[in-house]
Amino acid sequence: MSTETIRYDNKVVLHFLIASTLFGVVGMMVGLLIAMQLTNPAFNLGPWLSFGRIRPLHTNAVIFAFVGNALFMGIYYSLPRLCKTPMISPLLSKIHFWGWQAIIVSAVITLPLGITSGKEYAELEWPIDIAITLVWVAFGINMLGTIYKRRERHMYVAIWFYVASWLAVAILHIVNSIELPFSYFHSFSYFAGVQDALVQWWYGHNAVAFFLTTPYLGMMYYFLPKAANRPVFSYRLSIIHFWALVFIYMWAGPHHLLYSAVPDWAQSLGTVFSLMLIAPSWGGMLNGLLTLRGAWDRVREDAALKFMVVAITCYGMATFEGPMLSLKNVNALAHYTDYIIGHVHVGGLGWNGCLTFGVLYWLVPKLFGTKLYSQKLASWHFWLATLGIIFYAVALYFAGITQGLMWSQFNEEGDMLKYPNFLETVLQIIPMYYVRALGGSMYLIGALVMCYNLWKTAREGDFIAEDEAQVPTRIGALQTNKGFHRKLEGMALPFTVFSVFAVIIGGLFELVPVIMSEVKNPSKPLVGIYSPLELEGREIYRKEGCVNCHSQMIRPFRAETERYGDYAKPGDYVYEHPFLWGSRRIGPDLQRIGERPDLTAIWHYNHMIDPQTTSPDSIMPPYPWLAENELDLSLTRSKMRALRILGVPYSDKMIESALTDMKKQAEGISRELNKFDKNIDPEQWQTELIALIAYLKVLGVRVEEDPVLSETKAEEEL
Amino acid sequence: MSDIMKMASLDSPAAVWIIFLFILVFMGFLFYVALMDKNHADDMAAKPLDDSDLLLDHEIDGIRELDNDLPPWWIKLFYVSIIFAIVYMLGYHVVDLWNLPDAEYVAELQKVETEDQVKKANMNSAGSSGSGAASGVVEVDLKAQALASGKKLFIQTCAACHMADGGGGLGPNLTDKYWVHGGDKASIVKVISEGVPGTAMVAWLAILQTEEKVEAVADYILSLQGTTPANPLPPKGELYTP
Repeated sequence: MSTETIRYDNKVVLHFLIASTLFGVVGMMVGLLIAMQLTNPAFNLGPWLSFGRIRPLHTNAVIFAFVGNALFMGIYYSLPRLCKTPMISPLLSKIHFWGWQAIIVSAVITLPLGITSGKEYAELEWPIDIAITLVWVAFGINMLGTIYKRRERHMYVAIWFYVASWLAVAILHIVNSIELPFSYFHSFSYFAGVQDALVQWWYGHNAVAFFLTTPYLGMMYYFLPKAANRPVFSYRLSIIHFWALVFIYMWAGPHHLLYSAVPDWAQSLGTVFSLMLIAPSWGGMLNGLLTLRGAWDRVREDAALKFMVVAITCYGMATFEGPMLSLKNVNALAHYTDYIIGHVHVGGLGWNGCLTFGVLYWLVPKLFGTKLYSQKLASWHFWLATLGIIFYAVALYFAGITQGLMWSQFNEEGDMLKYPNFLETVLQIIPMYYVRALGGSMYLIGALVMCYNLWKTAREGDFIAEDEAQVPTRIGALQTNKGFHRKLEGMALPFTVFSVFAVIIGGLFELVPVIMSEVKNPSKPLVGIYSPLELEGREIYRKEGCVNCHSQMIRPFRAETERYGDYAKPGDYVYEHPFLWGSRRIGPDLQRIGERPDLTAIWHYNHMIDPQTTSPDSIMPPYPWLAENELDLSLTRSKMRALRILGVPYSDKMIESALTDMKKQAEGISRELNKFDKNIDPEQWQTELIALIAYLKVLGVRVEEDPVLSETKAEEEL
Repeated sequence: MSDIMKMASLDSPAAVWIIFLFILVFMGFLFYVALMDKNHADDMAAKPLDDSDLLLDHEIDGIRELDNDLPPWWIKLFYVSIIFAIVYMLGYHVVDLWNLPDAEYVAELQKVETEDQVKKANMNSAGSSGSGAASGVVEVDLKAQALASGKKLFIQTCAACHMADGGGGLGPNLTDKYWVHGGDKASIVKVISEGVPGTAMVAWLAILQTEEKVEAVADYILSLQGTTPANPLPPKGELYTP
């Protein structure tokens, strides 16, 4: 067999590596800041660094910048070696790298400014969504092209995971980003209410699956046997757990929406498919841990292996916890609580973080042709990270259970909530927030120790920009006598087509019926449409990221209807672009806050300026700037027009008279406030706070007849 | 901690135990890993693992794969979860064996209502059985009930401005002897019912709908006299002595 010499490019690998560690540290620091904000609202440092705006910065930074860059690092290192060919286009590699970093920088700029789509883990606005799509396509061409040009006939399991991840993320991102722009930086989600929720959590859950899990399984299948120098435990297990995982994952999204207004059958599918995920997930864990048979003596000494073991263990833990949390009765208790935050951090800090660290400890010495600078520092990092995770998770498990139970507890007579004041249930868990911040700090310090260690390692060696390899000039023959799957691994195109089917079916079965039923038989609206001022108020709510702490989704439990009002129906959300159901109650649910007569305009005003005056010891950030910022009226009409295209029945007349209507409504609120010596000049009515109050006063108010529509109708008749 | 356990036994024990199980499993994993580490490290030193007979004939970038069977317990776990899924879907959506969320909610409300009726029936039978002492007990009971419903309404509707302990916030302190609009029950009922124009105090009669409710709230407010709230506002208005 004739061979030729080729070179693998290590530069792009190093670039992604540096970006990952750098953004990882930044993302964790932002995480620590928001953890501190929950212990004391004084850590909310002005508008740009208030919790609602930078919590998405934390999640985006650690998911897309830290893990994202790390998985690209892993793919750009392993894929060419597994294909025995360099990446087809160094230019596309560069475009991919710099494009991705530009997207991250734009996130760092836009999120603190409050430019957000309002959808969790998909907060970036439409121009950035387009940029993500383009960069993802560049990455895809580069990756699939390299696979097509491979000199190794049969694709290794790591490549299966890379291909499926790329396909799934492309589909998820595009569908969930269907939105109607109304300005250069803002848009409304195309879907409304229940449909939007279902699409978003199909995306949200599978971002976890196909961005945080499957590419990392691919990395595990490459770097673990490499680092351990052991064969993979079971080829058959790889096949079965791969296909089961990529097929089943896509169905599990609705487990984020149990007891919500989405159809029952979709919720049930979410539950059962989540349960069926245990075995496929554990298949990956088993194949990882059992690959280490015969290498456990080295796990003690080798930093890379140590971290990989913790990562795989945490993966097993998180993928057991997930299905359990999808059971209705467990979910009823744990949903909206910190339990979920603990759960995702076992996955995030444990699986993603520690696997990244393990790969880095193996890869950096390789790239620099030297040994790790200090095994001792790596050992310190190991213990800081492991203990950090335990402190973090256990604290939030207790916080979550405590709060969940307090929310649902009735008094001894059974006629009244035992803790009717939501704030009591928050104050109860603040000590746990301190422990969580401690765990997070330990983890961060560990990461900094690693950065120092890797830096010194790099300084001691010399960067090997290209690795030379002898490879066959031609691709080998297809093995046809080793079973169907072996044959399939040798045929990239059919394999890709199979993967597309596997990942697409779940979404088709769940999303299409729900979207179609709304088209054919729309839900009757139970609430009115927003007046222009209320609409602007809702935009302030979206901008400030209120959704990060307040849900708008009351579940059908007596403890919730007693506390918040009637539970949610699809008709409550027909005009909600995007839906703002939220996933966590750091503060109380706000779905029916408009029905509370005791929360008057002046109460809201005082509460927003300084929450502690109306709710002593509240951890809500103060929003004094809302009373000073002028409300931007230049886009109100564009927003109404955009919403009309999406099906909200604003008439020409309403759009025409938007500004006068706003002024009228705002003056009414100003008059209310002026009774309390607020001295708001009626000419200066257009503050963001006035609009927000207008929104909160109508939020979730059920109506027989739409007040906004009927008023305009009456005027037209005159 | 004990508080959590107490609540746990009252509320949804199954859920709580499953969550404790998580923590156990997590610890179990760590223990398992530690054990593997120790045993295998010792074993390996003595006798290297030889599974070369299971090696498959392919190799990519130095990575080999073994042809081990699927762990039997793993296959069983997979089958059980699939069977669970089928039973779950059939039970909830085909044969209606179990309640879906809406029905679950109705059942929860019915359960509370039945309990209430049983309570009332018990009370009535106690009342009708005759003796003066017993009817006195019932009267006290009813009073306590009215006070409890007043408290509930107070917390739902008044606490936002007067605080849950009546110490005052946007509205005045209700625990001291000073009143802006009079401290007798009739004045308090009037303020609650009609509100105070020009302030955040709205006319509650229209919202609460019955005078009994307003009176229950007024009674509860009077019961706060002399208590010590956490952050009391300074007295406002005129001294009222009954």
